[in-house]
Amino acid sequence: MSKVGLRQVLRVLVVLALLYFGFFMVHSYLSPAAARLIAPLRWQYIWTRALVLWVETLIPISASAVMIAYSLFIRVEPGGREEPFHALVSPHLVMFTVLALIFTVLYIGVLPSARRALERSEFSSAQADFYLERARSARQDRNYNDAVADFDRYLVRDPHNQEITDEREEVHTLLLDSEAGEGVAPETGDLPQPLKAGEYFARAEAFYSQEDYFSAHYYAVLASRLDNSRQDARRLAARAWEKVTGLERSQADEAARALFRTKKEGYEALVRAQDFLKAYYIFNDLANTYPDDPDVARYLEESGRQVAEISYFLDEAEQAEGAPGIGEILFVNVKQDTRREIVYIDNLVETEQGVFVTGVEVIQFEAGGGIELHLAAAHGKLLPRLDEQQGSTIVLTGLDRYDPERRERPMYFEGDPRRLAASERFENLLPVNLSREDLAVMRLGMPAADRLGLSDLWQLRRRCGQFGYPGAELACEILDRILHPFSFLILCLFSVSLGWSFRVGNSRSPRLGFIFLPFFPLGAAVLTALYLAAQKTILEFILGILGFGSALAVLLVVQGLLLFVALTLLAGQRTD
Amino acid sequence: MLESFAVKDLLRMLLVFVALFVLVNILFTVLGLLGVLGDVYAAKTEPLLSGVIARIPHILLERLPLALCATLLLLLARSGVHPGRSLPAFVLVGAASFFTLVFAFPLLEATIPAGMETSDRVYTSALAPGYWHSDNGRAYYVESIEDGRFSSLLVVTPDEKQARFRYFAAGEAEGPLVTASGPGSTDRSGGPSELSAFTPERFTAQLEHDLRLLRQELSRAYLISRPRYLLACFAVVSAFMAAVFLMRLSRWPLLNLFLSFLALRGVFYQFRLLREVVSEELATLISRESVTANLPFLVLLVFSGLLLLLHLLFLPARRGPGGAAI
Repeated sequence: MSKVGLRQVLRVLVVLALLYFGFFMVHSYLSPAAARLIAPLRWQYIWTRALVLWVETLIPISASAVMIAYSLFIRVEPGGREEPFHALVSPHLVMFTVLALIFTVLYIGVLPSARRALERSEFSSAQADFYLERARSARQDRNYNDAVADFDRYLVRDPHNQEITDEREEVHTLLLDSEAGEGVAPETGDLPQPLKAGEYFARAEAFYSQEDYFSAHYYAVLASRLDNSRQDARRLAARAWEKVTGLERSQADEAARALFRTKKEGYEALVRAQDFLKAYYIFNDLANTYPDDPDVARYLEESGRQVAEISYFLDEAEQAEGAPGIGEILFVNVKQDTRREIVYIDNLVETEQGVFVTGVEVIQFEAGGGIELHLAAAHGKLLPRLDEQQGSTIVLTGLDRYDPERRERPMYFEGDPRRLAASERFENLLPVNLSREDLAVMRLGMPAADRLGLSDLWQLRRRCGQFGYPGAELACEILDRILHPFSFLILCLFSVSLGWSFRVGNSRSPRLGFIFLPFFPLGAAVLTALYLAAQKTILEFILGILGFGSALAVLLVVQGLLLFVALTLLAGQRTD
Repeated sequence: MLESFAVKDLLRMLLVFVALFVLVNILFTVLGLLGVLGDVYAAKTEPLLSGVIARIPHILLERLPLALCATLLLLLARSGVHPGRSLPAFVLVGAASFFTLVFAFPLLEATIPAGMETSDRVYTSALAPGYWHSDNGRAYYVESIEDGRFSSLLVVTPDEKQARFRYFAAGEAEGPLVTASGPGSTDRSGGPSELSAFTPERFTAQLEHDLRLLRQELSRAYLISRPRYLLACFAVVSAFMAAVFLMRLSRWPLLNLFLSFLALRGVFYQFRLLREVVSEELATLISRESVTANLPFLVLLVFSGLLLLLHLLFLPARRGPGGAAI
C-alpha cells in the first residue's frame, strides 16, 4: 500500500493546493484592493496576495488532503499480507516531515516578506493616486509647475502609462508657454563624496596652484578639521586666505568687487561661522545672478547639503502633506532617570526627497513633576543620526528655498528649543532612538509585527519595553511562527488517523462526495483555527505570567506531547 | 428500533452526555480564564482575584451553546444514533440538550451580581506603569501607580488636530476610572475600560462575537417572557440536532463528519446573519418588535424542522461507521 498510498496522498495534496491557489488568485483578482492598484503593480500584488493567503491556509489544505486520501483512496488489499498500520504509513511520515520543512521555509521565510511586499505595493499605488489627483487639481488651478512635478512623481510609479504621459506632456507644453523667456535653474550636480584629509589637502594644493584661492582655503580647512595634526593644511589655509583678502584689494571692477565681497561673506558664513542657513541664502541669491560662477555653484551645493542636515525645505514637506503613509506612531523617546520624552507622529511618508513626518508632537516631563517641554510641529524630516549612534533625527525647522524670511518652526506650548538636546548649536533637532523601519512598528497594537522577519522581531522584542510597549505582541508573533510548522506536522499526523478511522473501506467510492472535496479545507480551517487558538491562549498566559523563555519551553513541551499523542493514535489504527 | 437501545443503554448515554458536557465546559472555561489572565499579565498589570472569579459565569454563559455543540458532535459522531434508527436515544439526547440549555442559562445568569457586566474589571488598574494602553481611540501612559494614586498621566488623543497630549502630574486611578486634574481641565473617566494585550485572530474574534450575540438574544428572550425563552432554546437545540443529522448523509463517514461540523458552525453564522442583517432590514418594514426579534429563532426552527423531515422521509436507516450502537 505504501508506495501507492504515497502517490495518492501527494496527488490529492497537489490537486487541493493548486485548486486553492487558483481560488486565491481569483479572489485576489476580484478584491477591491487589487482593483484600486495602478496597472504595473496589479499582477504582482495579485500573485503576492494569493501566495500570502495560500501559505496562511496551507495547514488546513494539507490536513484535508491527507484526511481525504486516507479516507477514500488508501485501502488494504483483501487477502494481502497483514502489517501493522504504523509500518504501512512510515514512508508517509518521512514525507510529512519533508513537507513540514518546506512549510517552515514558506511560513517563516517567505510569508513576512510577501506581506511587506503587499504593503509596499498598496502604499506605492496609493501615493501614485494621490500625486495624480493633486497633479490634475494643480492643472485646474493653472499651477503647471507643481502639476508637472506631480505627474512626474506618478510616472515614476507607473512609467508606461501612455495616457498620463500624454497628459503630462500637455501640461509641460502649457508650462513652457507660460514660462517663455525665463531662464533655467542651474543644475546642482551630485554631492561631493567624503574624502580623507590627505586627499583634501592635495585638492587644496591643486586649487592654490590654479590661483583658485577660495577653493584652496576651503579644502585646506576641511583637511585640517579632519586631521588636527596637519600643520601643512593650516599653513596652506592661512596663505590662501591672505591671497583672498589681497585679491579683494586688487579687484578693479566695482561689480566684481561686490560679487567678491558677497562671495566672501557667504564663504565666511559657511566655513568660519558655520551659519549654513545664511551661507545658503547668500549663494542661492548669487546663483540667480551668476549662474556660471563655479565658486558660487560649489558653495551653494555645499551649503545646501549642510542646510539639509538641520532643516527641510517647505515645498518638499508640503508635497508629502496628506500622502498615504504610516500613521499614528507613538513612543517613549527618552527614559533617563526621572526625565521622560514622548513623541507622537501623525503620518510618516516616504517621497523621492526623503522621509517626511507630519503632525509631530513632543512632550517632556519629569516623573511626577511638571511639563518641561511641549511642542507641536506641522512638518518634519527624518534623517539618519548625525552622530555615530543608532536611530534618526527629526528636523523640525522648515525653510523656503528662496525666501529667508519664510520659515516654519514648531509651536512651543511649554519650554524652548534649547531643551531639544540634539545639538547645542542647532535648534529644533529631535533625536529619535529608532530607525525608520522600527518607527513603523511603534504603533498601538503593533499592527506591523506580522511583516517583520524573525530576527527583527527578536531584536525589537528585547528593546520595545523602553519605548513603552510591553512586547507581548512581538513575543506572541515569534511563538506563532514557531508553533505553525509544528502544527503542520502534528495536524497531518492527526489527519492520517482521522481519515483512516472514517474511511470508506472496501465499498464503492462515493462519487457524489467528490463534489464536496474542495469544501474539506473550510471545515479543516475552522478546526485548525480552534486548535491554534487554544494553544495560543495557553502560551499567552504563560508569556504574561512567566515571560518569553518559559512560554517557549512550554510550547516545545506541548508540541512534543501532541506529537506523541498523534503517533500513538496512528500506531493504534487497525488494518483489518 | 427499540430493541437496540435498552433502558440501560439510554441511562449510559445520558451519563456520557453529562460527563462530556461537564468536561467540555471545564476545558472552555479554563481556556477562557487563561485568555483573560494572559491579557492582564501581558499588559503588565495585576489581576484582581474577585474580578477573575466573577468572570467565570460570563465565560460559561457565552460558551454554553458551543459546549453543547461540541458535546453533541463528540457523542453522536460514532454512535450511530439518529431518529430513523434509535428514536428514544435521539429524543433523550435532544431533551437532555434542551433542558441543559433551559436550566443552565438562568442558573448561571443568577450567579452574576446585579449590575455587573462583562466589561467589569479583572485587574487592579487598567494602567500599567511605563506602558501604553489604548481604548476608544485614546492612548494612556502613566509613570507610576501606588495605592490608587498615580503620578504623570499622559492622555493622547490622535484625532485632535493640535495639542494631542494632555498631561496630569498626579491623580487617582481605580480600575478603569481615572480622576485627574490638570491645568484647566479635569478628566474623570479617561482610563481604558478593557485590557487587550493581544489582538485576537479573525476567526476567534468572529466566533466570540457570534457566541456573545447568541447569549445576548437568549438573555433578552429570558427577560421578556418564559415562553419566548423556551422557544428560543428549543430553536437553538433543534438547529444543533439538525446539523448532527448530516452525520448519516452519505456512505462516506468523513464527509458526513465534516458537513455536520460545518453545519454546526453555520448555525452560529446563520444566527448572526439573521439577527444583524435580516432582522435589521425587516425592522424598517415591520414595526412589530416581537416579529423581528424572534425571526432568527423562528428561521432556525423552520430550518431544523425541514432537515428532520428530509431525514425521516428520504435517508434510509443505515448503520453508523462504528457499526454497533451504544
